[in-house]
Amino acid sequence: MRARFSLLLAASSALFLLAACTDGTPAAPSAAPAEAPAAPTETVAARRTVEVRNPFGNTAVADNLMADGDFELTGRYDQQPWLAFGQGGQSVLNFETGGRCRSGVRCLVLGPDEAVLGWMATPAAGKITIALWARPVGGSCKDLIVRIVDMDKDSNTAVGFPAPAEDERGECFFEGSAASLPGGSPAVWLEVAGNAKAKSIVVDDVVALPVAGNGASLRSLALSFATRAPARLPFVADWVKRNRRFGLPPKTGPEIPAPSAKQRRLER
Amino acid sequence: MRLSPVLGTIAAGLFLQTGARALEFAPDGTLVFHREAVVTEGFESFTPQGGLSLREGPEALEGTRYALVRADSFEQLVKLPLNLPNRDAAYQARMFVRKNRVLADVDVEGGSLSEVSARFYPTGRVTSDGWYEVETAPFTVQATKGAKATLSIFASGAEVDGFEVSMTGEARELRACATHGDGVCGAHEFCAARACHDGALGLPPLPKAEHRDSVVDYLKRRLELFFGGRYTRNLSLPGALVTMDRMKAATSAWEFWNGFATAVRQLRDWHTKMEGAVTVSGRGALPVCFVEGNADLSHHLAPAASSLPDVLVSHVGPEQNFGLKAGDRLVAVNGMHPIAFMESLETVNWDTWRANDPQVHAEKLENIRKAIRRWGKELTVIRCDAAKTSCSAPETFPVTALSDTEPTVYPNCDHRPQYHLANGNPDAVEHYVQGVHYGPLANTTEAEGLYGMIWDDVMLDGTSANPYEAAMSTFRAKASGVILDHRTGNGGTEPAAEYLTELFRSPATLGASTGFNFTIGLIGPSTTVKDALAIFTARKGTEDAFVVGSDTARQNLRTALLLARDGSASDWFPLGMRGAPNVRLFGRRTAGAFSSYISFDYYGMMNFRLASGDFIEPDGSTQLGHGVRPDEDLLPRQSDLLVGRDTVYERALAWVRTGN
Repeated sequence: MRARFSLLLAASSALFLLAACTDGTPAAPSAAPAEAPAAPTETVAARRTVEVRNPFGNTAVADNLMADGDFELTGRYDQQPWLAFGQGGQSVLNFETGGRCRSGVRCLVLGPDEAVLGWMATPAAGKITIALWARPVGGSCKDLIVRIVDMDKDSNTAVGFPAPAEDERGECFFEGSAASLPGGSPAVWLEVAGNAKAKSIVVDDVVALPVAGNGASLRSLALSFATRAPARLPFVADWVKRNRRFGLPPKTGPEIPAPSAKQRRLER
Repeated sequence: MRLSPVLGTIAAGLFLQTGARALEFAPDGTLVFHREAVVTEGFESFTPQGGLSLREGPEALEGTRYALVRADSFEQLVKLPLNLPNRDAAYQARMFVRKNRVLADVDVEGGSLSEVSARFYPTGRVTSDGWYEVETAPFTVQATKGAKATLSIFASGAEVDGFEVSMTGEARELRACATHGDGVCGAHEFCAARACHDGALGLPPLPKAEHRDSVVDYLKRRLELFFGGRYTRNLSLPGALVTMDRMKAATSAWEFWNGFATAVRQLRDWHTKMEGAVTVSGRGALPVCFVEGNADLSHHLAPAASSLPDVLVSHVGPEQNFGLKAGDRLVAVNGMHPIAFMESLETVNWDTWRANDPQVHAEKLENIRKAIRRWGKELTVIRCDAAKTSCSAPETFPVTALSDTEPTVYPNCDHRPQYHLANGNPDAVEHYVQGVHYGPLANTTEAEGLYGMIWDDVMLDGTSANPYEAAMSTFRAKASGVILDHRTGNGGTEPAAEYLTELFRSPATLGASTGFNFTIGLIGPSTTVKDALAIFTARKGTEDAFVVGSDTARQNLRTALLLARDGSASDWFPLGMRGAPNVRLFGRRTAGAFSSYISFDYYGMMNFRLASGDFIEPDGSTQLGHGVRPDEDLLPRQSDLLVGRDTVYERALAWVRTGN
C-alpha cells in the first residue's frame, strides 16, 4: 500500500484520464494522457473497457411483459420473477455481472443441467414476440434451449425457438413469437441442452411484447415452432403449484441470512 | 486496513476545491485510486479475515490481488475500520464488485448524529471483465466528536476490489424534529425518532435524468401487469399509479424511492410491501404489545370511537415497560386514535403493514410500538387497577418520558395474551412461537379430553416433515374437543391449509386460486361474475382448487378456531373450517389476503413484493379483500385482561365444553 501511495503522490498532478465512458455504448480507454505516470515501453492492450449503464437495467421497454427481463429485480431464491430448478426442486439462481452482461449490471448464468423459468404476462389475445440475448461460454447457441410454456397446462407441447448462429462475438440473439396464453401461467423456459459443450451460458435482456391481433412479423413467426415440452416441465409445474406461497416470505435463505443484532434492534 | 495517515492529510486539504470524484481508469484499463481519496484499499497486502479471502490474478482492477467475500451469516460479516481525517466532513465510499451482489454499508458510530448507515448501490459503471461500481450517498462523520466509521460487507461469493473513500463536503449537522410532517426536515430527509434523517443513505441513487422517466414507467408497468386481484386493482391500484407519476419530478433519492414505496403502500395489500434500508432505531423503550380490544372499564373516561376498536395492552416485557400492563388502554398517539395514527404514516413508514379487508386492523397494532418509537410525539393512556377493577383518568405524556434504557426483552406481539396448554407452552415472556405446540389444555380433566394447538405458520412444502401430523394424530385418537389457537397466522401454502381441515370436516371444494395475475385484463374492475365463474371452472379440477376436509374427518369433534391476525393461507384455512358442523370460529376477521405474491429484489436488500392473483368461490364471487368472518366476533375485554383472563379463549373453552 505504501509503495502505491508514493506513486499516487508522485502522480498527483499528472491526471490519469478516465477511460472513455459513454452511456450504453462500450468504450475503449482513451488515448494515453500527456503526462502518464510511467511511459510504456511497448503498446499494451487494454485490460478492460469501461462503460456506464442504467443500473436498473433495460427500462426503455416499459411494456416488457417479462416480470423482470433484465434480472436486475430478481433475487436468488423465494418467489422471484425467475426460478431455477435442479433435479430435486427449486435451486439457487446464479448471476454474472457488469460488462459481461448485455444490459444493466446483472444477468443470468445457466450451468450444465440447469433449467430456469421466467414469469411473464400475456395479452388476452394476439401474439407475443420475444427476444433474448445469450452468450454460451465455450459452446454454441445450440447449447441453449428456449421455450415458451404454460405452467398451468398439462400439455406435452411448447413453443420452441430455433438456435440462431453466433455472431462474431459469440453472442446469440434468440427471437420468435408465440400465441398469447390467456388464463394461463406463461413463462420463458431456458434450459441447457443435454449435449451442450458450453460450460455456462449467460442470458440477459429478455424482452416480451404484445402484438395486437395476429400481427407478429412473418420473420418472427418463422422463427418459432411447436415442439415437445421439456421433459422436466411436468415436475416443475407441479412443484411450482404445490409450493406457491400464500403467506409471508421466508425469513432466511440464500442471500437472506438470519438477522444480525443490529437488524433485530431496528425491527423493535 | 493499512491506510497511510499522510494520504489522509493531503486529501483533506484538497477536497474543498474539487468535491466528489470517482475511481478512475488508466488508458490500459487499470484502476487508479483518486488522488484525493482519503482511504484506499486494493487488497494487495491485506490480511484475510472471517468471510474475506484474497485472490490473485490479472482480473484485479489494480495491482494483482482482490478480495473474495463469502459469508454464511452476519457473524461472518467483513468489518473494516476506516481511518478518516480528524475533522468533521461528509464522505462518499465506492468500490467495484463482481460475480454477485454485496450487502455493504458504511456504519458510523458516535458523534451527535442519531445514526448513520450508508448503503452501497450500483452506479451503472461496469467493466468488460464483469466488475461493476457500487457507491454510497454522501455520509457525515463527526470525527471531532469521536465518531468512527466502519465498512461492512456481506456477500455469498462476491469479488471486491478498488475500495476508496473521498471527501465530498461539509459535515451534516443534526436537526431535531418532532414527528413526520412537522415541516422541519428537508424534502430529501425524513423525520423519525425525533431527528431529521438523510433519506438518501439507505436508498439507491436518484436515477439519472435520462433514465428517470423510463424507470418510473417500467416500475408502473410491473404494478399494472402483475399486481393484485379484483378488489385491489379496482380500489387501490389507480391511486398508487398516480403517486408513481409524481416520482418523475423527484429531485432527490428520498423523494423518488419513498415515492415508489408510498405507492406500494397505497396498494393496501397484506402481501404487498417495499422493504429496504430505510430503518432507524426507535427511541424510548416500549416493550409493550397492543391488541384490538373492548375497553369496557374505561369507556366512561374515554368513549370508544364509532368505527374503530379500542386498543389495549395485551402483554409486556418485564423491564422498562413504563408501568404499562395487560389491560391498560392506549387511547391516542399524537392526539389520534392509535389506528388512525398508523394510517397517517403511509407516506413515511416503510414498515407499514395492513390487511386487504379495510375492517381489519390487527396488522397495524402489531407494529404500533415500532411506529410510536419513531413517530410518536405524545401518548394518551389509561392505567387500570386490577385490585379495584377500575381505571384512572386518561393521562397524556410526551414520548420522551419513555425510558432511554433499552430492555433486554421485547416480547413478540402475537395477539395471544396467554397460552393455555397444560405443558409445553411457548415462552410466556418472549411470546415467540416456533413450530407447533399441542397437548391437553390447562385446567381441564383427562376425562374431558380437551386439547389445544398453538402455531403461526400454515406451511407444507412437500419435502420437510409434516409439523402438524403428530398433533392431528393425537387429536384423532384422544380428543373430545380442540381449541386451535391461530391468533397469529402467517400463512404458507395451500396444501397446508387443506391438510389442516382434514380432521375436522367432510370434503368440499370451496373455490380456486386464479394463480398469478398474468393475463392482462382478466382480473380487475371489469371482471364479471361470468368471467370469474369461467376461471373457477377452468381451475376447479386442478391443483389450484381449494379442496378441504376428508372422508375420515371426525365431524363429532367440537373444534374452536381462534383468530386475530391471520392472512393468506391463514385466510384459506379458516375459510375451510367455517360452517363445518361442530367447528366454530372465535375472535376477529382475517385479512382477506387471498392471493400469492411475486418478490422483486433489487440491490442492497431493497425489495418489493406484489400480491398477485385472487380466489374465486363457486358462485363466482372473488374473495380478495374480504376477510373470513368469525362466528363470534370477539374482542379481548379490558376487565378480563386486567385480571389475567383471556376473553377469546375462555369463550371458546366454554363452547367446546358445552356446545353453547
